[in-house]
Amino acid sequence: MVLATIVAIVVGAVAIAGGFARSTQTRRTAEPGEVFDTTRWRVSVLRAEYTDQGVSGLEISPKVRVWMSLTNISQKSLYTPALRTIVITLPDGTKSQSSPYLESKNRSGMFFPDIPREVAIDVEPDSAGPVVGSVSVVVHDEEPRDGYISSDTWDATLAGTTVLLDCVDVRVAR
Amino acid sequence: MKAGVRGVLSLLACLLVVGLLTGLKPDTGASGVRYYGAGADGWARSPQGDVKVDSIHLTQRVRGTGSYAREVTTTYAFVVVRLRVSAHGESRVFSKMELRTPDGYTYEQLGDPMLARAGYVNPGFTSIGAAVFEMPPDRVAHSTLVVYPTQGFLVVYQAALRFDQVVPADLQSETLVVLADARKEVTS
Repeated sequence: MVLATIVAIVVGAVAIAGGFARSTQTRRTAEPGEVFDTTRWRVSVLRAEYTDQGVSGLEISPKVRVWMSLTNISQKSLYTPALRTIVITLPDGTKSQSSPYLESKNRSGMFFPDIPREVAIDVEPDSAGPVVGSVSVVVHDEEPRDGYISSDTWDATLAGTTVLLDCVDVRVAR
Repeated sequence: MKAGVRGVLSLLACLLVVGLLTGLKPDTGASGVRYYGAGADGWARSPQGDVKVDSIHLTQRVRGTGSYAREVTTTYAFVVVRLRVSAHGESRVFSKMELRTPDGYTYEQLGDPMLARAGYVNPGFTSIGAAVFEMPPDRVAHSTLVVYPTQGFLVVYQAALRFDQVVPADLQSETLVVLADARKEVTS
């Protein structure tokens, strides 16, 4: 009886605090090349290709490469989006790393405010053979973490924009 | 005296000490950083290290001259700050440099190590190099340079050297800026 009362009080408190309200975080979709904004980034997911050439032209094991344009629209120079902001899922279910490496043809390092940069993210498929089907790219929004030590940490939110890309096979050594 | 009373008195004594230390701390502003501006001789001096700006250039093409150097271009603007840095007491890394625009944007220097970064310097030496910033052209004028002397990976933010509105508004763009390798001299 006591336990049930405590549970009821807790559930009631959560309900009063709005804990059971429908989430306002939404999922959107965008077309390839369409420009959309998150809190700190202007994004355009451009194309996906199955390639055996590195961004610098060196031969590599086959990977799916997603190209996107990223512009830092905050007021500070940034190294990278927050963990799990960009999630790429291949047709076989392989997912990108939580903080994928962003490679550029002619620049490395930070993203400077309002300077766009085209970046590539490579994902190695878990399964062998050519990649057939759509590659899903979800770009999540970000929110500042209310930390006590650092006030400059950001987390990915559930809200995000999904872009579906046809993967073009551009391998040289087929 | 009871143990509980002693505990409370000890706690109050600790709070008093913390309060005194906080009150005696130099004024550092809201960010916790104490800034040191440039003197009449052009040097900004802090307990950790000194910095002097030699010249400032505007361009869209920058080229290093070292063995692995390459040319870097932009469709925006590169602000090249030639400067010299020296350390006090222990070695410092002057890798964190930023240009702050009058409208509140912060641009850190390009990370390319081939671009003559002043970088690491031991006490008694002066490193002469450059910092390159990529910015939209309309944000360049009147930007303020801020240099943080650090210790390796440990970023020591209690001091920063600041050059207020160091980028002139009438800076003319140059076709190409060639950067010689950073070099070190014995501090005179």
